[in-house]
Order: sequence, then C-alpha cells, then structure tokens
Amino acid sequence: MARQESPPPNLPLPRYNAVLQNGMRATNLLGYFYALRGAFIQRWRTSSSTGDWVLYVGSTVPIAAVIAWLARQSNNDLVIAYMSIGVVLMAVWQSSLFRVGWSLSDEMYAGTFELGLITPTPLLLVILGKALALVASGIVFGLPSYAIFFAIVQRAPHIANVPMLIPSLLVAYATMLAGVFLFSPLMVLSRGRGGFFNALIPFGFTFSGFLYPITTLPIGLQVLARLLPMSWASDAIALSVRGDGANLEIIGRWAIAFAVSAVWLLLTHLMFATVERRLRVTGQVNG
Amino acid sequence: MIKPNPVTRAWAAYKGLWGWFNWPAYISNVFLRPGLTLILFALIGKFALAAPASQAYMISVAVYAIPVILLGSVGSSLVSDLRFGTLSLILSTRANRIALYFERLLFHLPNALLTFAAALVFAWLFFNLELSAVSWPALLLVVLAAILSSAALSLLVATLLLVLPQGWNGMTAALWGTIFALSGVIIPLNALPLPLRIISEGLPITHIMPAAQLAFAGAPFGEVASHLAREFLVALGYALFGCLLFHYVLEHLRRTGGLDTSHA
Repeated sequence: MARQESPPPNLPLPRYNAVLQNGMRATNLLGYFYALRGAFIQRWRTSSSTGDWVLYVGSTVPIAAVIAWLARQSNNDLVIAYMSIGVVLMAVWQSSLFRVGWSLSDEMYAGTFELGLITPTPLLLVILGKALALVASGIVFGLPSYAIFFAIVQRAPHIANVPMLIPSLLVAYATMLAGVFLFSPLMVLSRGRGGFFNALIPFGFTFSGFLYPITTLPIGLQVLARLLPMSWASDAIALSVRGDGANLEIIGRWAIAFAVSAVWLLLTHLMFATVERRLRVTGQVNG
Repeated sequence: MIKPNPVTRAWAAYKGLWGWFNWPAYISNVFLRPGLTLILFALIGKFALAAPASQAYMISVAVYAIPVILLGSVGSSLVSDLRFGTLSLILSTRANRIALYFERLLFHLPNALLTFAAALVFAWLFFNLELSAVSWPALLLVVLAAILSSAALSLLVATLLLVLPQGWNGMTAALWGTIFALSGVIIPLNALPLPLRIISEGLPITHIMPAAQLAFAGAPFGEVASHLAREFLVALGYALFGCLLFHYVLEHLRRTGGLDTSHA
C-alpha cells in the first residue's frame, strides 16, 4: 500500500502543493544539468582521435596557408587581423558540423539512442551536451591553422578593440553551436544519407562572414547570409577588429545573433520532436 | 555464353557502390560545393586584393572542382566495393583486372565535367565572369586533360585505400587540401618554395592552371599544347603506376585475407 504523504502541520494544502511542485521542478532542472554535464564530459573525452586529426587538420591547414598567403599579399592590417580569426573559426565550423551532424545517427548505430529515449531527460539536452563538447574541442583543430597563418604572414594582427573582441568570439562560438546543432536531427530525418554535408561546409564559410565582412557578398546573397546567426557574430568581430563601431553597436549585434540563434534552436527542438515521434510510432530506432 | 558488357558492369558499380548517388548528396557535391567554393574564393580575393584577382581565381577554382569530385567519388566507391564484399566476388571471376580497374571510373567522368560547368555557371551568374574571349575548343581539351589526370590519381589513391579503408576520409581531405595549396589554384607556382614546387609538378591540374587561364583569354591551341602535353604525361604516369599498384594490392589482399570484410 502506497504511503500517503501528509502536509506538514501549519502549512495550508495549496501552498504545500506549490512547494512540492517547485521542488520537483528544481530537481528536474538539476537532473537535466547533470545529464548535460555528463554528455559533455563523455564526448569531450572522446572528441579527437588520430583519424580526426588527419581529417580536420589535413583539410584545413592547406586552406589556411592559402588564405594566409592572400592576407600577406594584401599588406593590409585589417585583412590580416580579420582572416587570422577567420581561419580558426573556419576549422571549428568544419570539424563541428561534421561531427555534430552525425552525433544523433551515431547514437542510433551504437545502440545508445534507446537508452536516451527511456530517460526523463529530453534527448535534445543529451545531444546538446555532446555538441557543446564538439564545438569547444573544435578549437584544437583550429590551432594548427592559426600557427600556419602567422608562419606565412609573419606579422602580428592589429585589433583595435580587444575587450569587445573576446566576448564577440564567445558569441561566435555560441552561434556556431546553434548553427551546427540543427544538422543532428536533420541527418536522421534525411535517413542518414551522407554526402550532403560537403556543400554545407563551404556554405558556412561563404555566408558566415568568417573570412570577409558580410558586406563583401553581393546584395542578394547578403540577405541569405543574414539568416545565419554566425553572420551577426562576424559583424561584431569585424567592428571589434576595425574599432569603428561603438560598444553599444557591437552589443546590438550580439543581441541579434542570439535572437537568430534562438530561432535556429527552436527549429532544432521541433526537429528533435519529429525524430522522437517518428521513431516511437514506427519503432525504427536502429536507423 | 553471355558476353560481359563493360558498360553494364561500370554502371552497376557506379550505382551500387557510390554513396553519393542520391539527390541531396549528388546536388550538393556536383553542383553546390564547387559553386560555393568558387563564391568563397572570389570574395576572399576581392576582400584581400581586388576584383581582377577574383576573376582569375574563379577560373582556377572551377578547374579545382574536377579533382575534388573525382577523388571523393572514386575513393568512396572502391572502399565500398571492399566493405560490401563485392570486390571479392568480382575477383573470383575471370574479369580482366585492367578493365576492372578503369571501369570504376567510367560514369564518374561526366560528373567531373558537370561540376566544372556548374562552377562556371555560378561564376557567370554571381560575378559576371567574362566568357566572350574564351577559346572553347582549347578549353574543352584543357578540361579533358584535367579530368584524365585527376581520374588517374583518384584510382591510384582508391587502390591505396583498399589496404587502409578507414583512412578514406582523412586521406581524401588531405589530398584536396594539398592540391588546393600546391597546384597553383590560388598561390602561383613561382611563389612556392623549391621542395613544394617539385611536389606540385607531380600533382594533377598543376599544368592545367596556366592552360585554363590562356584558354579563357582566347589563346589558340598551340599556346596551351605544351601544358596539356605535360598534364597528359602526369596522367599516364598515374595510370601506369596505378595499374601496377592495383595488381600488387589485390595479391596482397588475397594472401593476407584482406578481402574478408567481416572486420573491414
């Protein structure tokens, strides 16, 4: 027979219920945090293998070398500073997009997806924790590109507003996370057919503003670029590098970047819900 | 007795083994990737240098799309041949091994032409690439030479991947990057240090880059002929070495049980 909880003395029942519910919400939130943290730590520990190093460093370092050569030919401090940051962001985007994109499919192939479905923690949070680890570890792959850039340019970057650049870079990371996270459920919904990421990688480079200001794009393509949250973070980076924007203007770009990221995260949430609904109904949890 | 049809064999291998043979992947790899890469480097050139630089870069990035699609496609097809266990079945037949080696390329060659054309369309659409002076016969030969040398290299690399199938992604990506940096796509060959310049001589499309620029400028065939001859020599070298390597790798796999795909 279940033990009946009785409210403590001197506490009216509605208030007791409210306290109980708040306590349960707090417990749930704490549980979600632990799940997120656990997923992050697990993925961080396995975030780079020899194969990953060959793939991501081998593909980005030569491109960084070419970009460095172009920057050196420009003999322009702004170009050098902008591109030096861009080659790192480029490496992070490439490594993150591919690995985060396959993360949910990998869960299915490994047989751990079912475990995620039976826990009270939303699947989205678990995959988000892993995506956070992959984006954060992506900077490791960006360091060789940064090193080769300066080995070729042989000139220190000139940054006008360093105090605003550092948080702008963090905003760029956050927007990249929002950008790549969408592709995790998308890969499952597209039935794991590989190959289409190969266009998404240059798509991100081209429309994110990592390697040139968005205003360099033809006007029609600028409209497309503005749909990406990274393009707004790149604006903030550009203003910090040039130093010709007020701090409030930079903060405004952060706000827009976060707003656009929120839309992308909402889309991601809807896609995760679609994945779960589809798999619970059809029972095809093994891909 | 039914005579085997090489075209049918080639089509079966292309359709069954190529993982990008679905609409999203095909459009991404053959049309979108070269176009987006072209836009990227045209704009990098414009930001860093000036608009005329970006015109030259568009031509070379369009040519670069050829080895990219072939290296990715042919490598993945041959690795799939091993992984799906179909290679061991083919080797139990009396199929001519040299024909078998080159057949794998057949239906990937048109994709290389399409990807080059797609890149040019992007260049014309977004950046008004000047096409009025192009010597089309010379350009066609230039593209053909680029396709042959890139195809021969892609077969050679794919053969190496038979002994290291798990290295497909890394090796392909590293080669893409190496060709991009050292073939004169953006960095002129005379700007490379001597050791890298020597390496570049053996890479596909290195000799095509100046020929392509000449063809776009309307140069007659005679001016591009010497570059094309060198590129055909490179292609021949890859093809010969690739055939020998294929024979050696198959014997190695047969002796070591490498065709057993239970652990591939």
